[in-house]
Amino acid sequence: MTRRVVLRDDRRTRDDQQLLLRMNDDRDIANALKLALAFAPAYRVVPGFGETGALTVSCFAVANELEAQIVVRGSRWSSYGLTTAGELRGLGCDLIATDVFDGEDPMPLSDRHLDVMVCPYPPGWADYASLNKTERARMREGLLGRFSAVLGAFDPRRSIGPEA
Amino acid sequence: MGDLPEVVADLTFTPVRGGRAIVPPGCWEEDRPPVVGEVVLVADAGAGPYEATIRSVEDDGSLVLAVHVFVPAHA
Repeated sequence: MTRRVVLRDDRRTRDDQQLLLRMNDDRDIANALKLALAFAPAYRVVPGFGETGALTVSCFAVANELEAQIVVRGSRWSSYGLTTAGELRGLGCDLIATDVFDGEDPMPLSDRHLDVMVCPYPPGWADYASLNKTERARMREGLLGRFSAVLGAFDPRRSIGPEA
Repeated sequence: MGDLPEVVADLTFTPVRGGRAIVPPGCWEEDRPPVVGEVVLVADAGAGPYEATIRSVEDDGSLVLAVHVFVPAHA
């Protein structure tokens, strides 16, 4: 039972002003990159990435900062970051709406879920799962700058305070 | 705790589902196969590390982890 990605048509991906929410503070960028590499094969369903898969960053569409805070309060996170679709496109990233399934069940907040397409999984490499530690480290070295820049679009991270 | 194998899991979603996290094969960072029942440290970009136990290894190599701190008391 693994994660499955299904493309969705979503008008929010076409709006450059669309506000996007990233939950957590991404203080460990290397771990975020490892996750993206491990999930890359699931994105072979995306047109243009059928051969390689893709590195992505998960985020959620919100209407405004208040709605973002409501969504974050419904999670176990206390940190979040916001950006716009236009800013991410300015970094050369496409946005796609995806439903993400854990087995047969859609993940929580799936209807808001968008993936930022950071870059293709490096062509010519075997799937990340089959690489050894040394090869994985070498691959990450070449991708960390680009991946960090996309995560940085969600900075500065903010914290939700205690409920009133 | 420092000697435990480290794995990466997407804790944004899965811990709210009975403490279970499914880890794709690429997130097992050791150069040896994982063992069911083994205790590991799990983290993502913004949370952890938390202790977890490998509950099963799926056919595709994915790991099903029980992240101790997120497992409901009645489970």
